[in-house]
Amino acid sequence: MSSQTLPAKDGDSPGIPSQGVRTLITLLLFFHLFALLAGVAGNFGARSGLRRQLRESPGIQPYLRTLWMDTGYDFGLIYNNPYDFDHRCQIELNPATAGNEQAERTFVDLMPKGIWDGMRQRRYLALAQKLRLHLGDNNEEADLVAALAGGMLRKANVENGTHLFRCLIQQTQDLVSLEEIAPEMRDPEHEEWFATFYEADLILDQNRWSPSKREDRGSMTQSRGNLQRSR
Amino acid sequence: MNDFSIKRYFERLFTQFGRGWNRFWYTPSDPLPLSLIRVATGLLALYFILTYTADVSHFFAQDGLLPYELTELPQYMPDGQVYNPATLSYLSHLNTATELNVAHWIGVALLLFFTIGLFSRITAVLGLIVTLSYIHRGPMLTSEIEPVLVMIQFYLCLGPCGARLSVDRLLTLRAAQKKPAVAKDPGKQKFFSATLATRLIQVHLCLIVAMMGLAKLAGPGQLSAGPEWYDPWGTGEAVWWLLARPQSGMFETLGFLRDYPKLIAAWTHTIVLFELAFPILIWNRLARPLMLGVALVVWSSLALISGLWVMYILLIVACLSFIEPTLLDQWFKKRSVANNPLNPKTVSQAT
Repeated sequence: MSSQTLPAKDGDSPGIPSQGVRTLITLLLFFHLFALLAGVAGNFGARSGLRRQLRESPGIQPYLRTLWMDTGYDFGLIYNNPYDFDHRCQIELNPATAGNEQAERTFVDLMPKGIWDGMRQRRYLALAQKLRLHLGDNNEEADLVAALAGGMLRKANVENGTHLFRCLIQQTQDLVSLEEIAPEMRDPEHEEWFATFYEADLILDQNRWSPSKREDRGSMTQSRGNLQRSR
Repeated sequence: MNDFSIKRYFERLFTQFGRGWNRFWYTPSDPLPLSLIRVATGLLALYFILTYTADVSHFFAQDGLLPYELTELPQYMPDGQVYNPATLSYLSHLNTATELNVAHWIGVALLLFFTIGLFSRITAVLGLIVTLSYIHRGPMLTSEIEPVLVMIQFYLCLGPCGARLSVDRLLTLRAAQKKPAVAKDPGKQKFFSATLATRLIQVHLCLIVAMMGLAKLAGPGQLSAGPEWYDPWGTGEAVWWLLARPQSGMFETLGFLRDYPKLIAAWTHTIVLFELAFPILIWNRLARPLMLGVALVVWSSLALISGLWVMYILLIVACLSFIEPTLLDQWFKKRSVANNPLNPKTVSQAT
């Protein structure tokens, strides 16, 4: 696209591009604006069949996806559901088994310790949250867990053993019920604010850490905000 | 109303719409707002990339957290995906830590050139490619920040974002010192593409803010598990929930707000009201300064408490597109007059 102002035709203001250039740009503008609206319509909230079809119009999705604009911009920030809260992944190295419960527990965290930078921190939180989104009955998360665990253990120079991969959700503190609870619970790092939503044993199999999900530990405790309202 | 008047009505409608369309998109304008947006966005894009420095190989190397093969698995591709966007990222073709680090620092250099406005028409496009490459390589690492950053970078590629406040302009002015008859100062020219890019930022910003406001009223789009959703924006507690997120880091500082629930409710409702009003009132000349002022206050407050400060700063930067170029020009006038070699005083001193 030329950025220089082109000679004006009769009836045009000086500096406005020629009719042909304007027509071409207008067509491109129509496509771009239609694509944006179709992307928002097809991604935002509950979607009708028509809205989904708009987004699936020829060329729209690849165009939007390439420019990272295939989104509904539904940045509600917080809805007080489990997807809002901070998520953490960690590996407990050689977890306690019957007979050695007193052994010191060692953890490898997905997020490196001492990150002060908000952007870096957010990436690790987003990664842990994406894992939650991929949790499913068909073990959809297994490849992601294997990759994450492999990367975490390699960075920690752990090459063997049997470990426990765990994902935690860190709940926030309710505005109202906080008045009613013990003072120590005002500490956001208090262990009772954490709930485990995924656990898997990591087994080394042909140089790859394979997760074996513990099925009985998938439940998430209800947030205190909802507990307060259901009382 | 008879047929004749209906015909005339539509003729008038189309004529007026066409004129308005041309005026809105194609009236040449000063590229100063766009140049200012380039500097601010470039700095934030640089920050975005630099925060990858410690992690680029840990994330993207073959033995890292997100090996390339992971992006090819259908369950991790976005909904309705027609191709794997990771193939577009140059980072996908690099496997070792050394390769990734070299590419990373080249990307940093390109964004630095873009920020200072060196070869800005080229580095604007290359800078966008750098940013998109990181996003497409690790979509699982993204949040609300990236769509806003990419949006502004994309539109900056369409306009003369390096015409002012740039090394490019300094180089042109130096050339003008040598050949005053030939060289033109791009800072004094008006460009229709500056209007086009600025308008696109304005329209897209309004779309984003409108959807942000509606999302706060509408609740989550999909909730496949977990407890029943209730509306923290409606009950006025949303600000508290944002504050109380442990990773937000503001809990210790602003925890005292728990004693002022009405203040929290007012803060919450102001955010929603503002985001619903902004896309409409910003187009009104009288209301525009007010909306820009409120935007500064509301988004700064959200930048503090949400942990998404980069996104809110980017939204504030995008708001610069609504400031009149003449007003911005006045702010920069003293400095530009003093530094402009084409200024008769400066030229006479130089010669």
